[in-house]
Amino acid sequence: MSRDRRPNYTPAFDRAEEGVRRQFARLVEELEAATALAVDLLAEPEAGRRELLCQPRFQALGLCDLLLERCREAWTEEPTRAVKLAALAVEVSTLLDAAHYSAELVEDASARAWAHLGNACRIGSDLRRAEEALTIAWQHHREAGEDAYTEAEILSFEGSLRNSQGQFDEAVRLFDRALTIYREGRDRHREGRTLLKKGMAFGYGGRLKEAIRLTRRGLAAIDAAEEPRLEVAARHNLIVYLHESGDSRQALRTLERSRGLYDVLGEPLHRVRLRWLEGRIDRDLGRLDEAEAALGEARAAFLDRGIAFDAALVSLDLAMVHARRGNTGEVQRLAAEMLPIFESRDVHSETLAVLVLLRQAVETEKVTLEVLEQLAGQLRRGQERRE
Amino acid sequence: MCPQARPTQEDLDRLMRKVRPKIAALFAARSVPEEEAERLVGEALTSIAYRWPRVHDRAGWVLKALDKKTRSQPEMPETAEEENAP
Repeated sequence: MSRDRRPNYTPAFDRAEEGVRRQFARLVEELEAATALAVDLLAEPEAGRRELLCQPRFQALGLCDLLLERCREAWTEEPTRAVKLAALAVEVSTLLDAAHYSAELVEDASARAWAHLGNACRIGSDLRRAEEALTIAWQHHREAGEDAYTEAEILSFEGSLRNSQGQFDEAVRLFDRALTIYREGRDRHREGRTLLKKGMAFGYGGRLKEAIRLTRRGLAAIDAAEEPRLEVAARHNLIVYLHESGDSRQALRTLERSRGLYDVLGEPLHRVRLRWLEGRIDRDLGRLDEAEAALGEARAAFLDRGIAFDAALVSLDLAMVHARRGNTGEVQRLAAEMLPIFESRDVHSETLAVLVLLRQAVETEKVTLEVLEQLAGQLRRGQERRE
Repeated sequence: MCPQARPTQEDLDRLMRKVRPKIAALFAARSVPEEEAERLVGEALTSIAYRWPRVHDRAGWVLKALDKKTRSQPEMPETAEEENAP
């Protein structure tokens, strides 16, 4: 027989397609049922959810995916809810029938559910649980046969965790690996999102020029229609990096150009954060009246929402405005007010050292602009790394 | 555009039409038996249907998945191929 005989795969491919066609109606039905299942499951008090999950109709891959989607929607504004949704997805993934879906798909679902749980925990500041969840995600990923997209997703979450832990070089390395996968998959949006995250790693590490360059590249690559809030967050970061790199005028111009975007696509809290940033830029441009007004508004908005820590951070910026004016009484009052809020938080040792300095300054009524600036820098880095 | 949440039958048919020649070339190069080809393609199509909204380059994903799965398959010995020939 000739060595170049080519097998005829046409009948095999036809049979494979026919087999999938036969299953297709059931597949679509299952994916469509996921929304109703999620509604039923989430309407149930937490204690009763486990019982519901024992019913085979809830043991569905479509439901697991939908819970992960809801988790992603919640994790910026409601991290505690996002953790619960991801934990529920983990539970659903353990109940999926490998004989029905294939072991690979089930393991892949588990990998993604644990990875989402890890990222939600990170956003909720539980870094230890985040680390544990991501370790489990990698184990399931290996069992699943290492799908490239899942790998990129876990790499990206792990990169964000390293950012939160202050390991910026490691974060960059992980984001680079995710970028390679998205480029190979020609997924421009996810490539852009990962560039933005890499930009954040540089930003936290104080390499602001690289942060600005990567954020601009990321903004050019993302599809805002796919993730509107991502563009708002990225523009916000760009303005912060421009401001922190000393180019406050350019930061202000970019802010003005972005204001409409915040109004259309941003959440109410985005607009509060914009007002806060505007106040900081005004302050550093010497426009102290405008700064005081903007920071006062932002502080009140955070207090209205019960977000005490951010309100205290704004108070710190406001105290710096008063310090520049030489209004020591107001500086003293604001410092005494915010100090217990900062002291109540689990903060890094560098921040703790500055807090001790501030405590001494408050007690001796000698709070200086220098101590306030030092504290602001430390706290902001710690806060941003959690976002 | 927001990624399409789930494929239609037409989407899957179009995808398969696009990748058929490349899969056939890949399988031939790796000497994949025809009954194995049916199973592998069926699994890949089901898998991509579930991953539809997450995967941008679906044709690339299917080809890569099949490349990975057939890479570890033992080469068919020449003698066996001769014996199985009609």
